[in-house]
Amino acid sequence: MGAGQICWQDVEEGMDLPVMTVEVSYKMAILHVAGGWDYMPGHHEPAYARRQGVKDIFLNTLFHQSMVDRTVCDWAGPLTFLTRRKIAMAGQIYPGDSVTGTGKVKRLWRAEDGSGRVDIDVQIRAGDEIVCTGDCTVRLPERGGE
Amino acid sequence: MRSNQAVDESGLGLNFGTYEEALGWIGRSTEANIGEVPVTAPMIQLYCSAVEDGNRSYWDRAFAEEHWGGVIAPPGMLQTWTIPMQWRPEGRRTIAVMAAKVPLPGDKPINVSTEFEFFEPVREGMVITMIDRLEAISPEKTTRVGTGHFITSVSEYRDQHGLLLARATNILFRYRVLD
Repeated sequence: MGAGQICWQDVEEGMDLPVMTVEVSYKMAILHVAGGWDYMPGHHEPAYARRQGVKDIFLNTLFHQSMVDRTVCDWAGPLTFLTRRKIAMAGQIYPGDSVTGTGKVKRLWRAEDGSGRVDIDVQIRAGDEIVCTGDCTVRLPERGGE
Repeated sequence: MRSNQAVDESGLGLNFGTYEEALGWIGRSTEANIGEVPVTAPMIQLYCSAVEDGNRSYWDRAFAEEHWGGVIAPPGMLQTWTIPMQWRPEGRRTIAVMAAKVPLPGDKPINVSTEFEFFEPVREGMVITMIDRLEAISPEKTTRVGTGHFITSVSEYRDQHGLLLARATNILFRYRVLD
């Protein structure tokens, strides 16, 4: 298929995904609020964040979602359709953190409509601390399917 | 010592009340939250620049039209499309989510988990509508951040023709910081 796209037939259970990395700066935190429209004060107002019991402004749920999605889709390619994503928040991402995403293929299966699905476990870390886990399913194209 | 008067600083339009009152709200839904702007490629790409996502389906119009029928939006920004603008000439709305509307003592919200099922890609030109339904409220719990209630709600996202795009089950902890 090319174009950096992985096909369902190319995936094996137990495969490790390449590591995704992002350096989170204050600029990125502000750009993400502007781009994602989530103006809850903990994401842009340091004094409010501290009253909320955390040390600084922190990145929001959308950002955690996007780190999980990037870990999966940077590997799988642009024709990947995410059909399910469950995230559990375990900690915060702050400006200054180095974020990494790792993933492992858990299961290959076919949906009722015959399409090829892959279940993937994802872990997002800020430094060494796990801040979010993702449990995802994607639909991938088939080799020779186009 | 903090006063007992709860103050909403969250911008979500929190209602305050007791757990017993809140239980009577289970099963209720919000009005439809209709996106104030349609899905557009520049908004998609501004978001992608913030998470450094170079996926061609979000950036390369010819590629996206061939494979998806148009530029699509990353699933990670789905909630964005129904968040109101922060200021409008006629006055701003607040988004209606049951975790905020349900009367409870907690004045601080923090997300615990979110599970999305996605049925259709979000494409340029769509206007997204979200309706949120209250599913469950836990008894009072104390965690490392404070004391409050875990609220479970289910949101459905549709386009302007009623096509179901995604369903999200969200658990949020609404709490007060202990003095």
